[in-house]
Amino acid sequence: MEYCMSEYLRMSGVYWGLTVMDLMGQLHRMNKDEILEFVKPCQHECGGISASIGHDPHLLYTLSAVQILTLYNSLHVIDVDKVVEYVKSLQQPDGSFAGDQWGEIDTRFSFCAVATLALLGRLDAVDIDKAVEFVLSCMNFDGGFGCRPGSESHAGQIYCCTGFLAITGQLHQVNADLLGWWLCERQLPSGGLNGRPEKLPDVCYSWWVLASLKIIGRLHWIDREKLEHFILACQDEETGGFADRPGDMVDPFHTLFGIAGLSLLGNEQIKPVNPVFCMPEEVPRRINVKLELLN
Amino acid sequence: MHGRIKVKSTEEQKEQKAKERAKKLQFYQATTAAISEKRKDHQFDQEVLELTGQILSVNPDYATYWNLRRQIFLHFEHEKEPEEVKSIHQKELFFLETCLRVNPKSYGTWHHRCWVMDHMQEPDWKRELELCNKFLEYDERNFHCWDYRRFVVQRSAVPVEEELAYTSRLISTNFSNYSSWHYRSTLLPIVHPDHKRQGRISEKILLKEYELVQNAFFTDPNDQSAWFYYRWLLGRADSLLKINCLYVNRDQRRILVCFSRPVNVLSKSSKLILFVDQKLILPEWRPVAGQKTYSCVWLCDLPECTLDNGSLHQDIKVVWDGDDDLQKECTIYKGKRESWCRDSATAEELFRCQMSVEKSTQLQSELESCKQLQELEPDNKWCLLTVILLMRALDPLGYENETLQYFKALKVADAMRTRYYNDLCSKFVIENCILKMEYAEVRVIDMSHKNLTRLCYLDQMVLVTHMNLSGNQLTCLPPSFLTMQCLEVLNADDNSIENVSGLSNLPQLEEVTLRNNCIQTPADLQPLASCLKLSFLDLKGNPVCNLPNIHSELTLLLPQVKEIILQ
Repeated sequence: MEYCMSEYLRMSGVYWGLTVMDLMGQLHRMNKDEILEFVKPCQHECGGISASIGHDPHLLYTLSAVQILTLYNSLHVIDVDKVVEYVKSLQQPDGSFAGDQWGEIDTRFSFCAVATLALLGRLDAVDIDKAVEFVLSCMNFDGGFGCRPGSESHAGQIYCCTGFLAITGQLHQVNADLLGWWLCERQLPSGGLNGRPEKLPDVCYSWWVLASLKIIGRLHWIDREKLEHFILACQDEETGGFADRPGDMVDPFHTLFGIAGLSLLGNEQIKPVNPVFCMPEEVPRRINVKLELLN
Repeated sequence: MHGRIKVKSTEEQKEQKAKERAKKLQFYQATTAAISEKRKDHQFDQEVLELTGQILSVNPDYATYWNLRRQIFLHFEHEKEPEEVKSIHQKELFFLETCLRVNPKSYGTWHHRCWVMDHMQEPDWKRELELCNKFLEYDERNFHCWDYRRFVVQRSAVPVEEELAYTSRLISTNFSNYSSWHYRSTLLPIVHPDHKRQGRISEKILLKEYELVQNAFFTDPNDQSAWFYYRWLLGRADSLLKINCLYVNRDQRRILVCFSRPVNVLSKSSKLILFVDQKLILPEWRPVAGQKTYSCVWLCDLPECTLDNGSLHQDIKVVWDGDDDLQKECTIYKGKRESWCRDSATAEELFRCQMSVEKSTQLQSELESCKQLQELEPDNKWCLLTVILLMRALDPLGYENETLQYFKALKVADAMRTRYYNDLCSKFVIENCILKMEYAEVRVIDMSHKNLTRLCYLDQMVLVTHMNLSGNQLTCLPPSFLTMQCLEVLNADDNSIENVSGLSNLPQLEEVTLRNNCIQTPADLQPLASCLKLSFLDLKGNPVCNLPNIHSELTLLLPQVKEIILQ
């Protein structure tokens, strides 16, 4: 039932599963051909890619698909030029990106757009200056970023915006000390991280917060030992996998971000993870994506 | 999925649950299949609305079905009478509200509501604002609702002052206020702008706001949001772009320009123009850190005869982007090797705002209040940090020692964030070192034995000739060190330095001592090879000294260095 009800995000689910397997050096245990066969028919005429068959295209799943195909070095399975056209068509006059033709604006989509284009080597297809202008207009009093101008800071949005600024070479526009402080204040006495003030800790924030800190060069502001302890406690010793917090049910989403978080903390059993793309570091390196993080 | 506790159950319970789930699944799959069929046949009708409605009620994140409903409505707008369409829209708003009650945090649901409102002939924005009020009463931190509120406010031109009053109401009655303070931070600069400082508040209102926030954190010292907001109130505005420093060196035929923020001098849209004695020169600018696109410090080499020693003096001027406000001039006199013009950190409000007597008086009294609170709440780290921030704002040099004491207490109260506090303290210490150097009007900076864990403001030290970094906890001299273009003597003894990547292409560097650090291999010292004037290097007490043949290896790597000390 859960599998059925999550069909609307299947492409991302596949990306989470494959990436966590690759991070653990176990990608070969997945069925590459089956997966490529799943991705191909999800590209629609407009060039955009949907989460699954019978669903409408969206930037979120276009990125997930491109990430999957990049992992497998199989971008030829889709029409890359059409993907670029689709992404380009979603940029608005103020530089923002809609998620799809229905017009929802969100800095998550700015990230999806440039991350997709960066993996395809086609960043020149959109107006980067305008895109940057929009993302910067979402910067708040606390140094963080929200969905749209005026929206409250949130770790997920901050990850998207710092990732965006890393890809577009504009990290110097971030107030790294102020934002780094806000981010390190996500760490609670339990060692876990929350997504914004007064909220509960969640393993997925071990990724959003940690990756953001890494991008702005302040990863060391988190107490690593306590966080690692928290993440490991989110494992289910019976079934394997990670849940959002200790004792809850596991799922692929939290498993990926638990593992990716541990990788950022330096765990040597896991491949080094790229903090912008959330893929093994070797993958963006293989395709020569230019990224400069803050020191 | 978030917040699903794993529960163990008996065999019987498991079987019962499995049966129920199977039934639900069958119904779900039958419904989605039916919708799929109808969509294939381009049937945009009431039945599809029914079916998609059933799925969306339990799974509002099924985005494609919100899309489908919109397609149907667009079709209806075409085919049906306005009165019927109006009624359909109203029903949709009602349906959306029931969805929101079940899950008030679905992006798809809120966005669809926006879409419906934008498609109505006579939208009732007042009712939408009331809806927001209601939902924010249930959960004042629901950012979806706040964003929807901002949408409603924008569409219906609700006066900003009314929204400001709304935040005041919430803040005075509730506890969970971060979202309200955040909203306030966006509204105040619109209603009461500081005309000189972009994004900041006029002083009269600012002083009132300080009081408001103080009341909040005195009422509940554990309410984080007030402390975050107060830090913002104490801060400065973003600096306007300025040229901080212009430096000319006759021997090197070199010009250095230092900006207050990183810029890209080589972008198509900007130009850094140089005048020597009113004559226009377009040199090839490059950033100090070779590969960077954006840099604070830029330099250029002048053609051979530009700075001849004949005339009594020569005037150098740089202008940024044709903007007369963004320029710097200096004069180099006959016989002088170098010249410069530099803004002081104090004048430029680099570290803190200049303050009126009124503001300074009020903040002084707030500092006293915070200190009193701290005595009542010795473990409250927010209070300790805020005392430090107030002292920095009022008198960084006067409170120097007291600040260090408070940092000690802070690291006890909030040990998890020790590394942050060390880095923050380092920053404040370096600010004070720069201020002292400026008051003494010298080009020597002493940052020794100050527990520094990082280096800051190196782009403000372009003119420094002698630097003492000994006895700290630095682990590297990073690329930001490349701005030290006038540095002649560096003492970095007694740190934990492993990496000196920033010690490259420093044209004036003659003496470096790195005793008792963590340099491991000759390769670690590679950057020094490009410091052509380097003649003295002391590496005593580094692991690298124990390697066999190390002296000959280093002599090969650094042929320009006359004296390399290894023991």
